[in-house]
Amino acid sequence: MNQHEIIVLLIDNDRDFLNTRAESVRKAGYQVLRAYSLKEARERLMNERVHVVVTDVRLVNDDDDRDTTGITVAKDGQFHSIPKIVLTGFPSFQGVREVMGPREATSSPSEGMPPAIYYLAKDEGPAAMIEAIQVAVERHVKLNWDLNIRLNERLSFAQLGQRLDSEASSRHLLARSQELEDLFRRLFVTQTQITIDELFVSTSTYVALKVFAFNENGRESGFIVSCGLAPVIRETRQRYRAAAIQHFGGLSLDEGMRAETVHYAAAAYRFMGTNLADITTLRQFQRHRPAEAVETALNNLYQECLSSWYEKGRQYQDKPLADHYSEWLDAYRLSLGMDEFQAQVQSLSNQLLTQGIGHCAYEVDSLYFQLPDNQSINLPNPVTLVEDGSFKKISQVPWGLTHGRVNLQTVLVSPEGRCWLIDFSQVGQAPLLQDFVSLEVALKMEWLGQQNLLTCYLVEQRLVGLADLKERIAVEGLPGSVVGLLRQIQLIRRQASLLTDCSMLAYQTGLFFHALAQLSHYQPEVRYLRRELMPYAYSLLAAAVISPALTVAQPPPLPLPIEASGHELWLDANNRTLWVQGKSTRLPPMEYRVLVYLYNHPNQLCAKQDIIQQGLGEPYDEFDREQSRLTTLISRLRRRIEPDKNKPQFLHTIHSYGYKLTLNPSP
Amino acid sequence: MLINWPVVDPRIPHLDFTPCPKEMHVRNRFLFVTNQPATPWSALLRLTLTRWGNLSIHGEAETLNDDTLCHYDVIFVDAGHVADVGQFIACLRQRCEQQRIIVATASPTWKRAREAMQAGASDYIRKSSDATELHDIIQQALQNLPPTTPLG
Repeated sequence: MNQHEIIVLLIDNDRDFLNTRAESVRKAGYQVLRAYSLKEARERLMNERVHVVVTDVRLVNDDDDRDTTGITVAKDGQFHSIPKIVLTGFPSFQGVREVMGPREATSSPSEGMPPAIYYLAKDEGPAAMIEAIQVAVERHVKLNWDLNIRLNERLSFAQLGQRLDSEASSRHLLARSQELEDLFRRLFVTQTQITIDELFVSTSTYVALKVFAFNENGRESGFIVSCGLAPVIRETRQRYRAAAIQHFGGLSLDEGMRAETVHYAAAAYRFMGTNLADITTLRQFQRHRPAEAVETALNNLYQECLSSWYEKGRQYQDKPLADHYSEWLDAYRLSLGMDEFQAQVQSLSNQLLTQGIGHCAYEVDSLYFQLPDNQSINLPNPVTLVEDGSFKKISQVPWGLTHGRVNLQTVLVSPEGRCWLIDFSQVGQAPLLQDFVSLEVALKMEWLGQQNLLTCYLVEQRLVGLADLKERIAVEGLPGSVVGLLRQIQLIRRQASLLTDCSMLAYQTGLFFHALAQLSHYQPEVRYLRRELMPYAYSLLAAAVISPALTVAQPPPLPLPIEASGHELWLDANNRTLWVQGKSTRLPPMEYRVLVYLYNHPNQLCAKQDIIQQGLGEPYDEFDREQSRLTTLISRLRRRIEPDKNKPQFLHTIHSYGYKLTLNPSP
Repeated sequence: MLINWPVVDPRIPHLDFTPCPKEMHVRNRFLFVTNQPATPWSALLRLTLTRWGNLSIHGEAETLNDDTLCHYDVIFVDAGHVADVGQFIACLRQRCEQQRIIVATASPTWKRAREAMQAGASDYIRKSSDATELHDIIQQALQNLPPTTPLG
């Protein structure tokens, strides 16, 4: 054990005492951090690498026996992975019981460690404290200092730390990368060497790595290590245990191999199958292997890996699929209002022009694409469809257990074409088409990202013209470079038809919303490379091409109901139509819910929390002070109903509280 | 570049694998380690525990010779009737990793509490005539808590 690398955080508001004890700890060979208040302690724990905590109980007022602020740190679930020692000048058996005793059932899922692993009186002297620290290090820190860690030359803990916490300052990135190294030393506590070979999946909160571990006899084992922000990994593991382990062969969860630190967690999934060294992602597989091998893999993926999932708990839902996807986009703040969409198209178009890819002009109801060879394409504005909500009704959509993130990175393939799935962060109940649409979109991005816009348009036009998922996709007249893609898409769609019984209309709805979600990631202020621009341009084009197929013919305008006359604002709940000064407007689902709540509380101050919980039926996020999602919905609602959105007559904001809907504003 | 849906979507039904707390009709099994089961507090404990489940009463030696220790859910130890509480608890804990071990004493001290917890006790309580308090302690012990491992 490398004692000199152990960092002990001492917390005490008595500076003299703390500094004296710090010197003792330093002389014992440990590195020392100091915190003189609760606030300082939290900052240290959040931003520094800490292995052991020694904390006083009374951090505010030594004369107040009700002051137990030090125990707050000990009990904070975020720091449960760090062993803590309570050091107090006023020991009591109740104190021992509180910090070393029974935990509440709702406490964080620790590995069996109570809030404190030791309880000391200050008058026991520094030697007792040093001994307690030593025991904490030996029994609870569990870092394999002798582990030889080899990383692929393209990987480093600093890079992983940057990926997983891009907002951390450079000063804290070092601590983060050291914390990640600690995480792996805990995860592979019984091994002598690990080789971190390849990064399979990388998101802003989570990575999946190919890791080879060697024990003292030199025996090699292959693992898929899921590593990322602690809440994400815990949630992913729970989903895996609840669903995937029952349905998914080839990967088993080695229960012993989990580790957590303050910010991160990791789980090692022992790879049971062929040699992990021969496994590659579907992305690499389809880039380097012949088309027939890719098709074999795709068939294996759906028939062998996923088919059993779709048989479990399948149900048919009548909830409009478009509503489900609209809510999904809203929940993830990926939905675009007309103003945001216009800004995106404007910026995207300028960049497309600069890169010589083409140009796109924006109208409220249409998009006009001008391609370099003077070809022009006039398409409907897809966001208008979302805003109007005029989707064709799709009934009886099959729902069930889905993986939720089937793409080119989360599918692993052996040379023989056998497949495994990784990344279970999205496992759950969803429309079954999800696992097919997501892979089709991923393949399109991979292939069409290198093509020109005209080819993209021709492909989408060919696909949207199909009436059935089983229908053959004709390749005549299309560039040879996309024939392979279309064969793969055909295979996926046939599997979708076979395994999920979903309709073409439902499938296209899924593709449409995936395209919009893709587009919402575009940031107008960023300057993109050509290869980065194409996926966004393609997404915009795809959504525009698909939207007419999803749009219901507009019904003739409703006559003004008698009940609405005499009212500035009147809600026709039967037709989900809002009448504003004699004109009708249909509302998308989320805006409608907000309006209904406000409408049922006319001229009353409605708190944001009540609108979210009772109007939208969603949990209230206490940490989002601005409640940005509600703010966005209110902004869109205001744009629809107010003659001048900058001078609202109907929908008023009560700052720091909520909103009020006035039905008949005074002139 | 692909869509990276954020995780932890509250709208995705949580696939809950958390075990449910024991139903009341499932009989819990308790062991009370004492040489004097007839004292007022012992009588209170016996009365309370028998409402929750089945109760066995052993002395220290009999307990250590009991091969069925791991069948109990909760073990109450009367500290006054055990020679060395820390050693006794450590022996129990070596054989029973999952069980709740609660040490009860008429004269608690923080050092003895620490010793018991270090050895692996789940709780250290003062003998009290408050039936409600005892009820709460038992209820908490029966919650699905992570097992306590010896600390030092």
